[in-house]
Amino acid sequence: MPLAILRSILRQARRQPLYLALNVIGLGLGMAVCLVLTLQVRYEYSFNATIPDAAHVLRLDSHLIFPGSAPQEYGDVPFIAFPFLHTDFPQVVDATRYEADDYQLHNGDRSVAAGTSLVDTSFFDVIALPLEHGDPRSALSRPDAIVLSAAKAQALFGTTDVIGRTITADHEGHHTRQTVTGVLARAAGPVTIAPDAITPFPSDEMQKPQFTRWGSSSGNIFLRVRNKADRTAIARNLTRFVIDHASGTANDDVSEGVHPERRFALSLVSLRETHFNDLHVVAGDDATDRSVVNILALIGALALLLAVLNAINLATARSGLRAREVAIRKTLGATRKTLFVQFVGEAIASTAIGGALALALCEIALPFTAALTGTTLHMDYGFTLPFLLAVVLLTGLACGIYPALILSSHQPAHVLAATRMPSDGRGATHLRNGLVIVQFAFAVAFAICTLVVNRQAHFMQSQDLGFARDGILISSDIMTSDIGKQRAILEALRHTLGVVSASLSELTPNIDNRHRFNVTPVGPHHEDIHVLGDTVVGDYATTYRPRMLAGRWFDNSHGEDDSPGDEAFHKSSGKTWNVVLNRTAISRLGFASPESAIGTPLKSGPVTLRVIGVMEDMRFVSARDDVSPQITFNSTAALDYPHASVRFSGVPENIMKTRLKSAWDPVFPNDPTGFGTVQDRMSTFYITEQRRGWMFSIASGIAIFIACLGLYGLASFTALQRTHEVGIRKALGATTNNVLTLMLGDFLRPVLLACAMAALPALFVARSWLSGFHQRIALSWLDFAAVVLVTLLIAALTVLGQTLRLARAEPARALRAE
Amino acid sequence: MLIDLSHIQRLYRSDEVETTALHEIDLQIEKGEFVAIMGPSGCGKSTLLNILGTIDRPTGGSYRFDDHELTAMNEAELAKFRREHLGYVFQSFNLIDELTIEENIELALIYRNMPKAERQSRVSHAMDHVGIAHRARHYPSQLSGGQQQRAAIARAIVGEPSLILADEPTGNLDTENGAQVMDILQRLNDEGATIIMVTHSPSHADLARRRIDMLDGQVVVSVRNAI
Repeated sequence: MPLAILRSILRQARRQPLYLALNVIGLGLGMAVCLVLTLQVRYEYSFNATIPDAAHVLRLDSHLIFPGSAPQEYGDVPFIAFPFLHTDFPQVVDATRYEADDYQLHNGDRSVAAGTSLVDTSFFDVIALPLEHGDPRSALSRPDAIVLSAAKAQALFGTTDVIGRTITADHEGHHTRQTVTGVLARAAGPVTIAPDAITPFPSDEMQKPQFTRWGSSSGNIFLRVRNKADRTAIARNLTRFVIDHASGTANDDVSEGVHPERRFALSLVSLRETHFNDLHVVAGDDATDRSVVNILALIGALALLLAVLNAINLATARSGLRAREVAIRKTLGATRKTLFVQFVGEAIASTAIGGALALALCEIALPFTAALTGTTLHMDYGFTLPFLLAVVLLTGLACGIYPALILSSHQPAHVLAATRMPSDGRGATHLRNGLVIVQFAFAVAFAICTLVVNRQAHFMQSQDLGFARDGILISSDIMTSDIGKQRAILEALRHTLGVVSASLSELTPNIDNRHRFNVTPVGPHHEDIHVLGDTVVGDYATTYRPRMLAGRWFDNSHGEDDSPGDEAFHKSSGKTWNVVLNRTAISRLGFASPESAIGTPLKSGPVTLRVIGVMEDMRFVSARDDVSPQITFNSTAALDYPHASVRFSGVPENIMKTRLKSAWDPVFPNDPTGFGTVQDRMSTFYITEQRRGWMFSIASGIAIFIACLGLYGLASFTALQRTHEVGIRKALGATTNNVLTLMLGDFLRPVLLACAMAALPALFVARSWLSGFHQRIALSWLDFAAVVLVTLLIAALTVLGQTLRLARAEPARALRAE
Repeated sequence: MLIDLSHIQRLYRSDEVETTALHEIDLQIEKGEFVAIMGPSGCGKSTLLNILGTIDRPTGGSYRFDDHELTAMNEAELAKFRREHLGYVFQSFNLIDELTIEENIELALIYRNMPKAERQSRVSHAMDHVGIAHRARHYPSQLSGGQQQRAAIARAIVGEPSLILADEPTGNLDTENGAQVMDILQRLNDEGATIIMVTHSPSHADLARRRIDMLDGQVVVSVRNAI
């Protein structure tokens, strides 16, 4: 039997290469898409899977409930909670704090920037990252220990075998000698915890104010528990934990007030979940939308389904052509069962050839997919081969069973007596049209969703941010609160050739979580609202060009425009400082219009703020997030977390960056910086959507291509089957145009029906996806019309050749067609 | 005169072989004639009928129909000519499997852009004429051969053509059904229709008013039957 199947496949390749090619290419493409997307989905679902027992490693998250705003989840928690976790929860086996920071590591003249994690000595007991060199039990036991990633060890020493070697760690100009006590193994799979270096907290670190208050976001806390029940037990008691330990008086500096549970909560998320959980978590991991990953899985399955439908369609369309073969075989003694097995075997064999093609396509596509999605996706043959084998077998059976039933059922007497190829009836025609409808419905739905995703990604890049985004360059963090240095860099930048204006500010695009505090409009019956504070220095209005809705910007001629720094501000009881509010703040504070807010006093603790201007919301956050109500101060004092921004003109961007670096380096020789555009800084907000758009574009392109392969195949066989009919029609007076219109209509009707069927589900999916964005495009019927038109055009072009040939057939010759 | 063929020639050329299917045919047919064409297989009967029906073009000669030269017409003009003047009856019926009997018959009128009401009235009349009205909603595969051929005749006459061409209309039928079909054709001729029929059956040929015998692409005998 296998030999007979092989011979039959070879005969098809020789006599009907088009059929075999359409079948194998369709199946190969479908399986390739399925394979690539399966690997992608498997990758997304395997984050942290290589960390031993990651499901029982839990991150403690905080939730802040601001007046007037939705609660916000943070991956950061106050470290003040840490010692109580052990005492309150016996379920905690081990725990560690984890603070990520930027270090510069030096070994002689070799120097590398390293994202360094400061941890407790119990770190490896909680998160058992495997070491290539060193012993995890003792790696962090000495105060000067440092564990390097394999890549950084290689960069610093040219080898990873570096236990006992020393390096100099430079943190904000503070230099320490550290001994390498471990080298992390390269992660075998995707992980969210992949520091360049790990070092124990310095002994005096926890004395810093930000680690001794409940209100601060210090870093991560990870716990290890034994099982799910322990996790549930801890989670159940976290509110009690907050009440027990974060309570205090209304105005103390350490606690969360009298009722901490009203503004502060804790929750747990396991390391296996953070990759999906952290989509809306501030200071969380680089996250992915689980629903999008699931959609990718669905697309993979659907691509395979399209290919299967394609194969079934082609096989049944061509069953009439093989009827004579079946009749002769039956006459010679073949049973229906033998023929059924043969035809199913042929389907599996064709699928296997498609599988080989899929594997080759997958090898080619995977590096591009990895680059496109920004992942380390690679071919894992241990998984891929068994998976592909199963897919080939199942797909072969799915493709083969129905056509084999049809084929093996032909009656020899009937077939051999007929002069023409037996028609397989209206039922089969309806089935084939139905399959084409299903194929195109999926393809069109993909295409509509793809268009929406791409439009949203484009919108996110080009949306109005409330300020003039072009021509601005922004520095990284200025690592000093020294006012002299801050003024020096501002002056240096101002005097750089090509710079129009320069300013310092705490908030910049992609930095939106510095100071938050409550303000209250003066007067009865007003509630607090929680606002984001920004403090600016220099020519901010010229640099960012915020759009003023009412009032004015800060001005040197007004004495109260310059507020003191953060510390002095809270002590300036009884003083009044001028502020500028954004549109959201005006709305949350209940003002009827921006104009009505001008001159109005607000209270923030003992300090009075006077609104002198209202500006349009400046969007420094992702389109997924809401813009916070914001109050902007102008200051003469040092800023806590400043960034420098410049507006430049008349100079190419790359030259300007070089000039700015030359101005920066003399002021901060130990803190090298790079200046980036607004686009650079905000690209993380839309890069996922952009990459997703690319993926969807490719997938829907392939889906349409597979559907068109099916349509083309169907058109070929229909052309054969309907040649005689065309002869009859022409004999009755039909012109070439009549036949062309009829045939095109017949081919395109199922496509049009598919478009109608796809529109509603696509609308539903697109709507629910867009609902995750605060700023989003409006869905337009033009999206649907454009996809329908393009699909019809592609489908028409696909069948045009066959249809034209059919329509032009000479009637006498067409009537002789069998 | 309805048809005037002069020196009609039909050559088939392949890469290496040239075959003469019709050789210098001269033939005149009057309005209202019933002509039977006979001859052995491969003598050119069907080719001649195809040329008369304009579904094949001669490679030489002249074909005048009611004083119109058809060999000079383009494809669209010939299609118009066919739908206005001709009706076909084929040996293998040539009904479209996917259409009902009623739809098959209506097809001949659809290409004339005739209003629906008129089409329906004509279809109904044609079906009555051949006794097939009770099968209007059936598909061809649900009918016997005789019924299918009667449906094909209904389709041929529904447009009230000037000429009915029948290519072995009884070739696929048993004696009884064959006789019924011949009765219908005779009746149509009696009502004034011009009919040209290719047949292998001498008895059916004898029912025509004139008989033409062909051999090797030429008309060898043309005789009027005594009816």
